[in-house]
Amino acid sequence: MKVLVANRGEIAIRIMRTCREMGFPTVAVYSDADRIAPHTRTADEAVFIGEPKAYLEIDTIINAAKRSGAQAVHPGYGFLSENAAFARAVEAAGLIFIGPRPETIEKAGDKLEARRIARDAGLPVLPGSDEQVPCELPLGFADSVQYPVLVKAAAGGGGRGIRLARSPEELEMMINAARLEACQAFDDDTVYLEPLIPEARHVEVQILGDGQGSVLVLGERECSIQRRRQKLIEESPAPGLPESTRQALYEAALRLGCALNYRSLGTVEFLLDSSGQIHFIEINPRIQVEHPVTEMVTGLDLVREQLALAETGHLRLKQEDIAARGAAIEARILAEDVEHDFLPASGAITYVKEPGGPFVRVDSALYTGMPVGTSYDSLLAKVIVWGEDREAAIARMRRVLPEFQISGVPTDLYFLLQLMESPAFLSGQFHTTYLDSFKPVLDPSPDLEREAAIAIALFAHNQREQTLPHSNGQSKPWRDAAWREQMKGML
Amino acid sequence: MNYTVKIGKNEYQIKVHHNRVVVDGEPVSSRLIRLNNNGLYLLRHDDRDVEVHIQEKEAGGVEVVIAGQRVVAHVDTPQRRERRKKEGPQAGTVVAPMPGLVVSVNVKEGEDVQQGQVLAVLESMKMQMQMRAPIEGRVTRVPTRNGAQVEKGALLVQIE
Repeated sequence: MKVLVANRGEIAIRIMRTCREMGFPTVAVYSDADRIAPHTRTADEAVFIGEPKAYLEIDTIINAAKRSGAQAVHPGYGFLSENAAFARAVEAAGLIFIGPRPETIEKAGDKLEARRIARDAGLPVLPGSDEQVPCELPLGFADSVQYPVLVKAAAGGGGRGIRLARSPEELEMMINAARLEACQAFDDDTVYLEPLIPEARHVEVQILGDGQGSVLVLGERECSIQRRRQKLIEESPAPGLPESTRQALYEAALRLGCALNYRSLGTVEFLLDSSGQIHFIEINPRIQVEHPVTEMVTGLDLVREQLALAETGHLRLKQEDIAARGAAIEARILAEDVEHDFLPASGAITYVKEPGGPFVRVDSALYTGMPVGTSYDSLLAKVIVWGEDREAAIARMRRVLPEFQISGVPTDLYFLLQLMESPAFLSGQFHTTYLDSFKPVLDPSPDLEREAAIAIALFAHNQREQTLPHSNGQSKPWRDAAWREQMKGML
Repeated sequence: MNYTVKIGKNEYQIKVHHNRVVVDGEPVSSRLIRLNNNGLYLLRHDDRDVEVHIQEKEAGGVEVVIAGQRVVAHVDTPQRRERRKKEGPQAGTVVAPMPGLVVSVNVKEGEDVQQGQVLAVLESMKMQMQMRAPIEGRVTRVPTRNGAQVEKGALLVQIE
C-alpha cells in the first residue's frame, strides 16, 4: 500500500516512519515554503504542490496522489484532516482515506451536530442550546444568557474561533470577534454558546474503531495545561482521577464511538468540573498532536493500527490486549517569545541538539538552518518521556528539557521547565486556566546568566583579537612556514 | 580589554586580558574552546565544562544557548558605548510586533481615535492580535491594508 502523507513537519515524518517499518512506500507533498523541509526527504518520493497554502487544496492533493500512484492518503492533523469533502474526494478517486468515514468527519466537524449525537447516545453534554446564535440578536438575547459564557465556532478546531463573554455588554462584541476568526479560519461563521465551567480539567479519551461496530478505548489523556486554548503539556494517565470517573469517561467515549460506528482513530474530549462530573465537548476525528503519550503508556503504535486497519479492514487488537503501564508526559516546544507575551517568533534555527536517553522520544522536523516562518504553526518539536510513575516521568522531563539546545529563535523550553517544577503541576492539581495565573521567571538563573556573560565576553574578545591586526604590525612568516611544515602530506 | 555584557536588566563588567578574566572585580579561571566553526564552544572552568552555542546578532547582540536556556545579550566596549545614541520609541507609532498577515485595518487617515481603540487585527501562526491605539489622537498615516503581509517592526498606524 503506497501512502501519500498530506501533511508536513513532525507529523508527516512520524507517519512516514511507521509506513517504512511496515514496508509501505511513502509520498510526501511539499509547498514552496518546504522545498528543503525534512518531511520531503523522509518520503520515498515527493510531489511539489505549489504555494504554502496548497496543503489545504483538495484537488491539488488528490492530483498528487494520483500522479504518484499512491493507494492511500493519510491526512495527519490540521490542514485537511477534518475536512469531510477531502475524505470524500479521496474515496471518490478510488483511494483509501486513512481516517474516519467522511460522514463521521462531517458530523464531528459540526460541533452542534456532535452535541446532539452525543446527547442522543446518552453522554453528559454541557447545558446550552443546540441551536446556533442567530445573525441578528433578538431583543433581550444578551440578557437571557448566563455569564460567563463561551462563544464557540460550530466549525471550530484547534482552539480557534472561541471567545469568552463575561457580561451582556461584552456578548455582541465577542460574538462578532468569534465570527470573524471562524470565517477566516473555517469559512463558516456559525457560532454557538456554551457555559464556561470554572476550574475545569480537560480530559480526553483515545478511541480506535473498525467501522464495523467494534470500538476500543486506548486510555485517557490529561490536557489541561493550555495557553490561548492551545495545549502545551499533555499526559497519560490523568493524575488523581478517581477510578469511577475514569470508567465513566471510557464508557461515554465508547458509547459515542459505537453511535458513530467509528472507524480509525478518534479523540473524545471532555471537561471535568470541580465536583468530578464529566461533560462531553467535542470529538476530533483524526490523529492528535498528543497521541505519543498514549503510545508510550500502551506500548502501541497508533499509526500502525490505523494503517493496518486501512489495509485489511480489520483491527489487530481486542480491548483485552490493551493495558497501560506507567506515566507519559509530552511537552510542546514552540517558537515563541515568552518575554513578549508568547508571540510567535520567526528566524532561522542556527543550532539544534536534541535530548536523548532511556524512555525519551523527540518528534520533530528540526534541523540546523531551518527557517522558522509564519506560514505554518509554531510547533518546533514534541518531547515525550515515560516513567514507571508520574513522579519518575516528571523527573525525566526535568532532566530532558535542559538537554534540548535550540539556537536562533526564542522557544518555550525554559517556560516548560518552570511549569514542570511548579507546585500545582507536581501535585497534579491544575485546571485549564492554570496558565492565566502562572507567571514564569523570565530571567535565567543567576549562575547561568553569569556563566553566559563570561562566555559572551570571551567570545567578543576572540572576535576582536581575530579581526585586529597584530599590535606590532608585523606578519609572522616563520609561523606560517612552521604550520606548512607540520601539515605536509596532509594538504 | 573591558566588556560590558548586558543581559536583561543586569550588567556584567568583564575584563579580559590574555588568559585572565575578571568578572565584576572577581578573577575567574574560564576559557572558551572552539568545538566547531558553527558557533559551538566549550566554556571551560577549573573543574567543569559547559557546552555553549554562541551566535552574533545584529547591533552588538549576542545569542547564547546554555543548558536549554537562551540568553540574548548586548556586549559593549567603552568606545562603542560612547558612539551610540539612545532613541526612545515614538508614542503614537503602532508597529507589527511579529511578522504576519493584516486581517483588518479599522481606521483611516484623518480619523480621531481613543486610547485603547482597536486599530488593526494582525494574524500570525493561528493567533489573532488586536493592535490598539497607545494614545488618543488623530491617525496621520496608515501604510498598510487588509490582506497585507507585514514584517516585524513594520509601521501599521501612526497617531499624532
